[in-house]
Amino acid sequence: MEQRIDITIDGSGKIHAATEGIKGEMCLDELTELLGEMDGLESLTRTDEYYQKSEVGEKSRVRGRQG
Amino acid sequence: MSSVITIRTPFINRDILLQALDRMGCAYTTIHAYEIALEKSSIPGHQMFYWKDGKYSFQHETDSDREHKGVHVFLGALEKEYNDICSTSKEAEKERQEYIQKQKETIILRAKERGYSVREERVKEKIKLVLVRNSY
Repeated sequence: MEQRIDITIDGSGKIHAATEGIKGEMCLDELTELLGEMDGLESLTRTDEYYQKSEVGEKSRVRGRQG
Repeated sequence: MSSVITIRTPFINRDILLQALDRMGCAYTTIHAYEIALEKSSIPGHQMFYWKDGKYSFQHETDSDREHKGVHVFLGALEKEYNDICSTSKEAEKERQEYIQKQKETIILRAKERGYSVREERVKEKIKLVLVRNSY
């Protein structure tokens, strides 16, 4: 499955980012990995896909608990 | 889509940030070069800016929705003043473009490390990065 992130940086340094194909909290984790800590977050909109369960995320959490 | 975010203009120049605060009528104390404590602003409670990762970050702790909205409005107005002042200074604008360039390079490096292919486009004055990868 394709995962896509569009990041736009305007002339003032303001960043607009949109994820596609990354479900659940994984999309915000991914943005944090790419953009660093999101200080100065102006807005956050979660779309339908955000609320879908992420298989990778669930597996990671299970592995984490076992360790 | 999964989520869409917007991150404000980074406050990277201390003098311009102080000028912007002056324009908004905010009283502040500069503790040292890396911290600016606000003493009087449009939002209640203790607030400060601290230097981190090449920019000033805003710190304000509250559980109140009303104060959250106040912070949002305050930072939006400050951002506008900051951008207005920046646009009048060639030096500040140059500093800002260098920051953006460095930020872009960091994002590209991190993206490649995480398995994305990266396409860069210029759309007017904006930099657009399209990151794509396949998960199995």
